[in-house]
Amino acid sequence: MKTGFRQSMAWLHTWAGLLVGWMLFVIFATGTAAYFQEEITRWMQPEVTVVRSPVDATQSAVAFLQREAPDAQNWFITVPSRRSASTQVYWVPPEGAPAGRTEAVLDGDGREIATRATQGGFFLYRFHFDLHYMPVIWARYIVGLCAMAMFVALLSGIVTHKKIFADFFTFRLGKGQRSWLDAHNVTGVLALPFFLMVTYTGLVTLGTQYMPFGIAAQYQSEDTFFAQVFPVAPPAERTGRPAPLTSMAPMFEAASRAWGGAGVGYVSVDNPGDASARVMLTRSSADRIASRGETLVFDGASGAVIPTGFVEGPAAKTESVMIGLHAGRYAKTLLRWLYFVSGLGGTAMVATGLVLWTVKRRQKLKSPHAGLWLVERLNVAAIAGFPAGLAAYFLSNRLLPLEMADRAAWEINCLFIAWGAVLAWTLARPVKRAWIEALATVALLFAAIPLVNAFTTPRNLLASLLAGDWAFAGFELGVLGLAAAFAYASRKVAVHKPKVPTPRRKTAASPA
Amino acid sequence: MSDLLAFLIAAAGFAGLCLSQSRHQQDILRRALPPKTARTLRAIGYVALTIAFVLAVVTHGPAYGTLVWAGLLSPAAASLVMLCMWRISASQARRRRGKRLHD
Repeated sequence: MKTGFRQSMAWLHTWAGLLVGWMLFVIFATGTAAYFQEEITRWMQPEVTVVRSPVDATQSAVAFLQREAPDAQNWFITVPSRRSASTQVYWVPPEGAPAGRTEAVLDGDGREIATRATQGGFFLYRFHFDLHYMPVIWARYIVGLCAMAMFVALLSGIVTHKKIFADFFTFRLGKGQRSWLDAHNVTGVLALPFFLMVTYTGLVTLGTQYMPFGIAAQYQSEDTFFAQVFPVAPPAERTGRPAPLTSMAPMFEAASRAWGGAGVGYVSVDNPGDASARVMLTRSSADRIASRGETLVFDGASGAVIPTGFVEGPAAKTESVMIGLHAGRYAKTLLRWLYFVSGLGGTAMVATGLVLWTVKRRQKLKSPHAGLWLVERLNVAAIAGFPAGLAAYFLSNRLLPLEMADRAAWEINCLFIAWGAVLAWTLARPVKRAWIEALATVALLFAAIPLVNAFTTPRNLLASLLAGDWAFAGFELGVLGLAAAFAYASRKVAVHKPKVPTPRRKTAASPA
Repeated sequence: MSDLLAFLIAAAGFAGLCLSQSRHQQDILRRALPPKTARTLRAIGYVALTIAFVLAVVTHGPAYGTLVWAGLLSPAAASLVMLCMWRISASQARRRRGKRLHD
């Protein structure tokens, strides 16, 4: 083979990037949004206003569960964090009980939230790896394949970019293909450590699914592996002797002391109200990088610690830190914004790469072939279509009737309907018009969000700013920023006049 | 506050690295610097990036501080990219005005 290493890496980078680029755009966009999933959920549940301390909210949730499910086998409480406003509770009914509901969403006072049915920001987080309209295992294989291709594209891109230091600060505007290459290089290099980290740790997060060979070689089955690495104490037998559940606050304090000040993430209660009751407190992932929190077990009636003797091994701890780095739950405000901005940079890197491919071929070809036609349109459908879907998701949250059946599912359907509409429009239009119109539509949809919010809830942008409600105000300012960016992009496409390519002098040693 | 300081020091560090390259000396300063000055600027740039790292670690602890520093590097470098772009467009505008005056 005559081509050198760098050229073959360039070929690999192009194809690994292009074939999964549209999927990667969506994965990056939803992953970036997921760094603020709790704030997005708060915006999408504007009826929730009561926020209490985690231990008070938990105690109120216990009171709710004592009324609603006093003889359940197990209660499970997701403790609200600094950033989320609601408490999720689940319970396992007693054996032989008639089927009924098993979950509720509560506010800080333990009252059920009468809020609109929505999956909020949590949907965007799950979509990032579970996609939608398909079994999650398929989705995780698809996303994993794309992540692997992303990793290949990153490494081959580094090898191919021979002027990585010389061109570190270089971004020349108005030079056609060269400008798109600069944009792709600059967005790619300036947050390169983040991209390498997030792609690798993303693969690690589902590592046991993608590479089950180690478990298969060493353990009888996956169950024995998971039982050894993540042991769960079997629930104690019900004694039938009633005993009131001790209060949460002393247990929370004891746990926090044991964990060096960290908070509680989850509470699980076995056999509540019985003498054999046990309370398991799991450490919140918000207070240190390692995401998997250890669990302390308490006697439910007395509040005394029951030692488990479980010690996390170094391999499990390493994996826990990698997942923690990827998810960024430990990040406080500044670092969370840096994660978000780096994620936006990654989304832009993928988008500029996709556009660069088409710009390069348009310049070289006299008449576009079918492949170029398809890629140009898929580019519009992904880069403008998916953001349009996101805007439609947020708008539908305010516009769908509150009493609608399957409301949460229909909000998500609205995302795909809008996305599909942009795809259909794109297929019918000349490419340049498609870009201008689609980008302008996205700008209008995002700009409409604070307006629609102002007309449908009392929590408009001005009120949020005056009240210092940064979750609400931040979300709306964020979408206004996105609207401005898409409007600017649409205008740039509209006024763009293609440069007439200057005839290149062929030298003796011109590369392929 | 110390995060802002770390950001500014990192940006200054990248400014040193940026100005050590002749292309960006032309963009920002409109003249070339002698090679010895360029080498000194590059060294100062790396030192400043290190100081920003130390500041972040002292403020936040070794693990969290390293991550904050790594995260701050991106916007700090991006600000230099934008400075170069702004200076290039300013000189292009001046050249276009100059052309119009002489037409």
